[in-house]
Amino acid sequence: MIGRWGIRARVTFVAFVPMLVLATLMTATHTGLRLADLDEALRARAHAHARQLAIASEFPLFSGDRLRLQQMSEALLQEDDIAAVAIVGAEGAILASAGQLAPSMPAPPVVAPDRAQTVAGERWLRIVEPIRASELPIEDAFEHPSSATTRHRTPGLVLVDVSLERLRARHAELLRIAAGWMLVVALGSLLLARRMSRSVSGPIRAVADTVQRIGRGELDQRVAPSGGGSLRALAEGVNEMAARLADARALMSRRIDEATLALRARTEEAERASLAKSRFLAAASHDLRQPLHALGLFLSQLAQQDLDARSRQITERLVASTEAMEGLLDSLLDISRLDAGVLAPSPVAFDLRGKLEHMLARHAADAAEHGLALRLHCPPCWALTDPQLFERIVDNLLGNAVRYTPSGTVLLACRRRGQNWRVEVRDSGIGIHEDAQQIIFHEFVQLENAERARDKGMGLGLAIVRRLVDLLGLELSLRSAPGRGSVFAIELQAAAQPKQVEIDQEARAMGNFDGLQVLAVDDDPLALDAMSRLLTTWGCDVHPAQDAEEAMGWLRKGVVPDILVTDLRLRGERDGLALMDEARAVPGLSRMPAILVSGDTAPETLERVHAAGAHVLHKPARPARLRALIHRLVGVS
Amino acid sequence: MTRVSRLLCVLAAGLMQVTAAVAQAPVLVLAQGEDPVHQEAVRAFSARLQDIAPQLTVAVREGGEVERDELDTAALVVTLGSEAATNAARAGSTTPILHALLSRNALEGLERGAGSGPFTAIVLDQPAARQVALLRMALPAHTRIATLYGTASTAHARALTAAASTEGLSVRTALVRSEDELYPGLQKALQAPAVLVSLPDTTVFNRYTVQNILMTAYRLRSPVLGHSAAYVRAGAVLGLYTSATQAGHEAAGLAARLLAGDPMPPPAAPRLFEVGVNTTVARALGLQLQPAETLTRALMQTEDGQR
Repeated sequence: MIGRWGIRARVTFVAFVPMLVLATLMTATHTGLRLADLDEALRARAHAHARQLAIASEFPLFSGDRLRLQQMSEALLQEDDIAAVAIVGAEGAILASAGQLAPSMPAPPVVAPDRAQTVAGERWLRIVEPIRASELPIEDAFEHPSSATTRHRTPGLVLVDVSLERLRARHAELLRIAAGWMLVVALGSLLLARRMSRSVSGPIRAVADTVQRIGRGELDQRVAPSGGGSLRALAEGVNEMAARLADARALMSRRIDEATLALRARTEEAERASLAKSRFLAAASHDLRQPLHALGLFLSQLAQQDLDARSRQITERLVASTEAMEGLLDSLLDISRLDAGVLAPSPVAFDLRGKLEHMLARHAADAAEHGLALRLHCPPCWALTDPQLFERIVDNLLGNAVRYTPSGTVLLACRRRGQNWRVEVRDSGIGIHEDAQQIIFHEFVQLENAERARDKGMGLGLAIVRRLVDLLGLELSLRSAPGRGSVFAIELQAAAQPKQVEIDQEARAMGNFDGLQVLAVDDDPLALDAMSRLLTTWGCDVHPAQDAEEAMGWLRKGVVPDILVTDLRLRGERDGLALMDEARAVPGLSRMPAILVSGDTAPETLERVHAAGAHVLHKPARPARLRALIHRLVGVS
Repeated sequence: MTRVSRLLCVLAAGLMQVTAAVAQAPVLVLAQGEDPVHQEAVRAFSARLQDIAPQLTVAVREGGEVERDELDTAALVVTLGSEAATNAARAGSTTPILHALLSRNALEGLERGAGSGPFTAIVLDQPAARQVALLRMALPAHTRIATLYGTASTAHARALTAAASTEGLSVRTALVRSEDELYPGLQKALQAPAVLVSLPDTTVFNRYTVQNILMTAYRLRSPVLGHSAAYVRAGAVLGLYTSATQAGHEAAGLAARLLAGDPMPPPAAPRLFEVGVNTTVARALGLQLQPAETLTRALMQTEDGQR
């Protein structure tokens, strides 16, 4: 047990126990001697009293003076502790007695003993003292020497009973005092021992405390050197250790700072590179859009002309090629916009099954072309998220599934999972190796398209999917293995079916724009011409202008446009936004809707447009989209 | 023939012995142990005998049993003390014996061996007449005498009574057969204050009883006439006794006379004596006494006059 004690307990033990043992021994010895002395003193006193009484009793006994004997007995009874006195004659007759003889004691002897006897009882001490005839030395020749011894006789005896009560009480008191002193000595020595142990263990505890603080990281802690020998060596060792620890930590922290700096520089460099990439993408897509926009508008017009069969076939192929190109550009634009963070999702409850059916229909032709079975497993259900963005996610996943499945089935399934709907896109395609399952979400990664065939897309689909999923706060999971197909799954929050079904905007777009006053502005004459012609075919009255000044000119001429459709970038100092503000400053036009058509996908530009509350169409704007937007804005306003 | 021849032999031997005794005078002294009283007596005897008859040789033998042969070689055997007397008497020697320094009771109790020779004695007991004379002289106001006696001292008590009666003193006596009768005896004898005379009878007066007797007598305001110096020291007002020295001297004188051819006298009381006075006790009892020497001298003169 002692092996687990601390220094303090050990020192206390070493200092306390010997003192306690010594105190116990001394107190026991002293008390024992004192008790024996008390016993001895009481006996001696009792014997002295008895002897004295015996001597004094001789003559009264000789002369038969019982009164005197009685007086002497009673006088002796006055002495302390004397409980009873009796004087017994030669024949055992009690001649005088005082006090009550102890009943527990044996009866007085009939024949007086030769010498004094002591009988010890539980509570009494009895002294039996013979009364001797005092002998007078007679030196004469009358007495025959042989007669001298035979003449000796004891005429009686004295009995003295001594009560031991007072002695016992004194014993008890002595023991109490001894116990009290023992207690005092024990307490005193304990205090002393603790004090000593403190003085011994104090420096060691100080070292231990300091070591603990150093352990908590307070490396500036030092032990104040005290004492000598091992204690000093220990303190110095701890101080040295702390100093070295502090040095090591300083060095490490310096290196971390340096590494952090380098890392930050590298990160900044990477961010700059990423920004440059975005700018490049924006610029590239803008420059591509401009002609494509015009091309689209012209082709749209062309398709509305009476054409022979051959021309119509060519026109249709032109339209298809243009749409493919637009799709590619849209993807680039999506990435730019998502990176810019300008898309704000607006979650609504929508008919999930309807949405999925719609998407399935869109990819049905492609699937049929690849000889794939495209199926939908979905109960009627409603979900809560941004339906447009969700459509883009599933659209991308479906497109990929159809594209990378050489044969078999593509299944679009929807299952309930707790509070959510789990939408899965399953294919029996080539599958994705586990190592590649992360990198496929990076831009421009196409696992099976080393030759970068354009009909297989640009590799932006899953990058867009990842950004959209993050934006909507959804969970996307992928389960796939090479040759076993892939399962992409998204979980959506389930929603109750709203009471009123929204009117399909597409249906409303089928309405007529006859007589709608449109102020169309574009600095590209070709695009302005195409836009004007398209709007005219929809029955609008178009007032074309190539810059802000010309547009304001129309307004000054008294034209009151129902809507302003303008390019964002214009010649001159003012751009589309400035024009919009200026036009709205004209009385009566303050609530005039405006559509900004822009090939600029730079994030900062988009943010500026959104901030101004304008509606944006990206070039190349699809005629259907333009038409729907005009319809919505005019209808709303 | 044998009877006649044996008688002749004995006679011849006896003659030869007497001749040898006269020539060598060996006096054998038997002493009793080493106690100072007897030592003193031996010294006194030897010294006095040398003074009177320097031609005599004295051999001293102290203590123990003696053989008859040892006694037979001496001209005279002198015993000092009752133990020596007992031993010498028991030996049954034909040599004449002089007993000294013993009480009359002891002398009378001696057992003599067969064929013992003649003996005489000087006892320590003071004659009753001397005791009464002393009382008359020292305490003339006291007319009452009391004494305690045992069976062995009846004669002495009777003699004392007789002597007192002649002097016109009343005597009250009490017989004490055991120590238990001592205190009643004392009370009886001392009903009225009287002079208590102690007798040399150890059944009544001994070293254990003397203190109580003296104390009782004192309480009853009765002076005591003791029979030894020790009594005077212990509290008796008067003492009448023969000292060891006196006994030795007296024995030496008698021994010289016997060896000189004097006939053997019967045992007798001592002629030498002295008186002791305890002035402290006397003063306590309110008695006016003459000094001891005066009393001794006066008593001696009285006795010499009577002779």
